[in-house]
Amino acid sequence: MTHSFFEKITFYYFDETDSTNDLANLLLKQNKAENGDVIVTKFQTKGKGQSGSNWFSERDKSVLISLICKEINIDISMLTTINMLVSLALSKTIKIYLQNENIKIKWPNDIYVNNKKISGILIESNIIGDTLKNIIIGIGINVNQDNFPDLLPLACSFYTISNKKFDTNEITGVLIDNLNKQLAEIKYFDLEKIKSEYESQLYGKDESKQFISNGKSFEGTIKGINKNGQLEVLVNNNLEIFNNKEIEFVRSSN
Amino acid sequence: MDIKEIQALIKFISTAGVDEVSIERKDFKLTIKKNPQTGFATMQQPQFIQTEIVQPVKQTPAQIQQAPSPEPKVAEKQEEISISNLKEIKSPMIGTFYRSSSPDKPPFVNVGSEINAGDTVCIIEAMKLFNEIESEIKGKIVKVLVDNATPVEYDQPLFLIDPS
Repeated sequence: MTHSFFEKITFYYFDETDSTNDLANLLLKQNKAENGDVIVTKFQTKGKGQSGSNWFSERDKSVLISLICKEINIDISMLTTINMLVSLALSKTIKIYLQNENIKIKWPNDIYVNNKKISGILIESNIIGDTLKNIIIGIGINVNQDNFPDLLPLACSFYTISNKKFDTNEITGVLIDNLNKQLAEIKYFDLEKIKSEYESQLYGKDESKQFISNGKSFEGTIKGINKNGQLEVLVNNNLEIFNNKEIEFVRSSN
Repeated sequence: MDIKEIQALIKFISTAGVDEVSIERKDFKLTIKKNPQTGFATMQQPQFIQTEIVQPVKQTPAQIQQAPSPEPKVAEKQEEISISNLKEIKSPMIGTFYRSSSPDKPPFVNVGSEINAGDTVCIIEAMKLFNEIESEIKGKIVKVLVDNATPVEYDQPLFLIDPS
């Protein structure tokens, strides 16, 4: 039995746009978007990354989409779950093409292949009271880039990993299919199952790593996430809880 | 229309759980339905796609025209007049409070802004998820209780609203 989150999916293709999330947001505000609409583009002129940073994209080389979940009206406690489901759908999609590589979810929602970032997620929502009204799921995947600017030494693409070029349209279809199936788990909600699947792919889990928080460097081990989606790190035998702005990995120089 | 896009679409519907898939471009719309009763792929006239509209407009003219003038004074005065009737907009989650959609954009609301139910008043970012918070009530912003880009707790009051 196939579970489906959307009744209908519509792909809207644009040769280029400022940012697929901004366009999705605008269409929602103008009441021109439907649940299950997907904005697809080949090039973003102002692609948004985390905290307002830019998402690097070259024309025709990336999968760049925003999926619109409109008027789903679910409790805001589901937000963490949605983040986990989207991360899982994305890592599964990448795994199909890069089967033998080490694919991990870097908390909260970047995908790393062999310790380098291949994909990012930007989720935006509208909340009224305790209800999640609309959600926009923006995803960028590096596919056919053969190199990256020097300021992105930790980025990778399908091509830099496998030395093969891929069809971004096909990957887009597979990704949306996986998102549609994975989000359907909201209806058959099993938080423990979702959480354990997410944690099994968590980058750095159960490995001793250097972190920085509030300017202090320390050693710790990621144990998982709590129900608010915060990171649980074992530091000197104490389980400490962090928000995403409060903690960073320290990169080894090699 | 790129043939590859159509191929990808056909491949998609053959494996996907959904019954209906469409693609749209400026000049073209193709819908494929799995359900045999509704027939074959249908071609339709293009509907709304306009690549030109890509600038999000998140502020109403009223909000933009709102003078940024004597904020603290207005707030104090308002509080004296009707403090007993004021309502709070509270944070629905732990996160970081932002008054605008990005650092180069004006705030969603200022002291004195008239808001309607459903208007976005701020963004709370939690775990890299950006959540636009909409007001449940109509009224006037009397006070902004939290500084931009600072952490907020669950249920922490963010704005005071005069609903009268």
